[in-house]
Amino acid sequence: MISPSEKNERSSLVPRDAISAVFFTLLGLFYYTSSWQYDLNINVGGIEKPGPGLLPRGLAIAIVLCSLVILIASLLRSRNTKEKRFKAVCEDMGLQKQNLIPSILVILGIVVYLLLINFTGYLLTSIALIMFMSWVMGERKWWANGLLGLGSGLFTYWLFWMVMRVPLPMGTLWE
Amino acid sequence: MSVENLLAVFIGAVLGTVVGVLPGLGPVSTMAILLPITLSMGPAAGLVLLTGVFYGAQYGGSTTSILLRIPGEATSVITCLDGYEMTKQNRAGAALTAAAIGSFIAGTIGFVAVTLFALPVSRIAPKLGPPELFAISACGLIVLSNTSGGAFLKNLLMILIGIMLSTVGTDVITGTIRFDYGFYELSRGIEYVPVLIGLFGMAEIIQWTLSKKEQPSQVAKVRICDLYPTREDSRRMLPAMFRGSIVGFLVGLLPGPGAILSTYASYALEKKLSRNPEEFGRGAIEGVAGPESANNSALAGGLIMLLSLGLPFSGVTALLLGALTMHGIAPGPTFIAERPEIFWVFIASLYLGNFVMLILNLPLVPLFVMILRIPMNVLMPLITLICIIGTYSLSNQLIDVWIMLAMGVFGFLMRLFDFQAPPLVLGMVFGPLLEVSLGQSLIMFHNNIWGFWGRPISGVFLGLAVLAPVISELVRFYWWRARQSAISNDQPLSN
Repeated sequence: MISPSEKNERSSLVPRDAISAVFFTLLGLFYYTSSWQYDLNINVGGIEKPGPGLLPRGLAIAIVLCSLVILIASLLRSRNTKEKRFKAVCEDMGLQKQNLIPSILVILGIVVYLLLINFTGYLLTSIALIMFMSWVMGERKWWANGLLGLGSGLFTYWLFWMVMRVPLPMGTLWE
Repeated sequence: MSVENLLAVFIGAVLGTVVGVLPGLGPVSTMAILLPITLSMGPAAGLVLLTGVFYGAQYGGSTTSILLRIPGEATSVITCLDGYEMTKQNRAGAALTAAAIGSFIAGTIGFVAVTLFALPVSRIAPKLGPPELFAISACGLIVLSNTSGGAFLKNLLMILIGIMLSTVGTDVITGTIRFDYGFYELSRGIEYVPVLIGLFGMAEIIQWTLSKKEQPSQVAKVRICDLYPTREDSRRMLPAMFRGSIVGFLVGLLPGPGAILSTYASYALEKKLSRNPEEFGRGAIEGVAGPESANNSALAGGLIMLLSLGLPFSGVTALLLGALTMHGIAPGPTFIAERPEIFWVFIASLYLGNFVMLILNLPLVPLFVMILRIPMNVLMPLITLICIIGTYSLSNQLIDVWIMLAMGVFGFLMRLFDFQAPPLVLGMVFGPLLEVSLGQSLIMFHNNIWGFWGRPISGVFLGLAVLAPVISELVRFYWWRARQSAISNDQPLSN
């Protein structure tokens, strides 16, 4: 029977570098096809000048080549050396599976914040965001979350709007 | 220096520090906000205020880099690498002090350098044309790609991705809008500040949420005397400060984001010269002292070009040129002779600004370290909000915040797959300069790419760009072979 720690130490079937190299190869190919619409050279008054597509196409080729070299090197290396499984890498970084949902909630919270801010305005949305994030990160006392949200929202509103004159969204709801 | 000027330095330094701590609002933005206010002051006082803001913002940016791994500005990115590691080892105070003292020493050296070299350097600058700028930028990117550690190819890939991001928006040479995919907000391009805050700030928040590790609680038990560098720290950091000051000044003479490049160059130099290079990235004090000195003295280098030739080579010097112009002063070859009272007050402000920073911030080091005592479930939401609003305040566009969020997720995945963020930032910052200089060079050479090799300076730097990674890999391969041979023969291998 193989213990969990032994499982993590055995070589990964697919090296991490290979996964990332495939992603960047595809990104490079996408960038290359996007750059096709821009000319390599343009003619201005009879003079040939570098066009808007010159650097992007060169870059895309370089990205694809670089990624392919990383891919090949990682596959060759995996034959001779053991690479840690993904789970072991996450453990080394201190990441915990039970915190996956809170972290997704934090990202979703920010997404909702950005979608609502122009509608409800900076102050209300920011207070709500801070309260939500504080709750997700473990604070369960409603009054503590409320105090933190209100304090942060008002302080940042004062600092950025009143002192630094940064125009903040006031919210179309209140117009 | 009159009372008005002294007050201007003090106010500028305090304002700059407060704003520099906020991610997104860097020295350039703060100086831009204060520019109209300087109209009501004398020209010398106005310039001195702006210089004080710059130094304050630089120090503020390094404070968050060291304590929270969130750089306030691009010049503080490299400080994250070792500064934050020092914080994790309960040496945050030593790192902050190294940053403060390094800035002071760099300011002093910059003051001396400007007075000595303003005229001689101004004679060399006109010889650098677009081919030289392209060659120097390309060489700098390749040579510095390995600064933050990690595999060379992976760092090079990150630089290429950074340059790729910089191509989004309007092409400077032809005016064509590229890669906007129908979003008109992208026609002005992707700012590097949201990318920076995303890669470091948001990625750190995501990682913390997934790991929920508290900051070192031992901070509460540290004595005041433990918050400052030890004798060993001082022995190591002082030479790094002097070297960083010189490197920063020399790199600051080059067009483009010299202050950012100088931090990478200084870090690479310190790592090369160190007897224990493996300590870099794990809390080497030289990794904080060198770059922090370099980014301050780079301003002095840029000022030589501004004051003696009237050419602003960076955002900061462009703003200073704006301030001078608003006061009816045109810097150039005759500036020093015609307006010596402005020139010397300005130069003195370089020294004074750093002195004010030192006396203001050294006693505040324990206060800054107290930030670490705030529970993370309180600090992280606060930092998130400040990151969002700091990013939004750049151009009052929500697209910047969306980019910051996307780069936060990307930055976290980069950490998971062992990619370094600093090379990507370097690529983004240098991408526009690289493309413009390449385009101008190809126009000069009638699209003949071999023209670069016909000019001595560009030929040498391009040759270095090609040879440096080859030599570096050959040396690594030689040492690997030697180690393998020593292991198989059971012989000790001396380094």
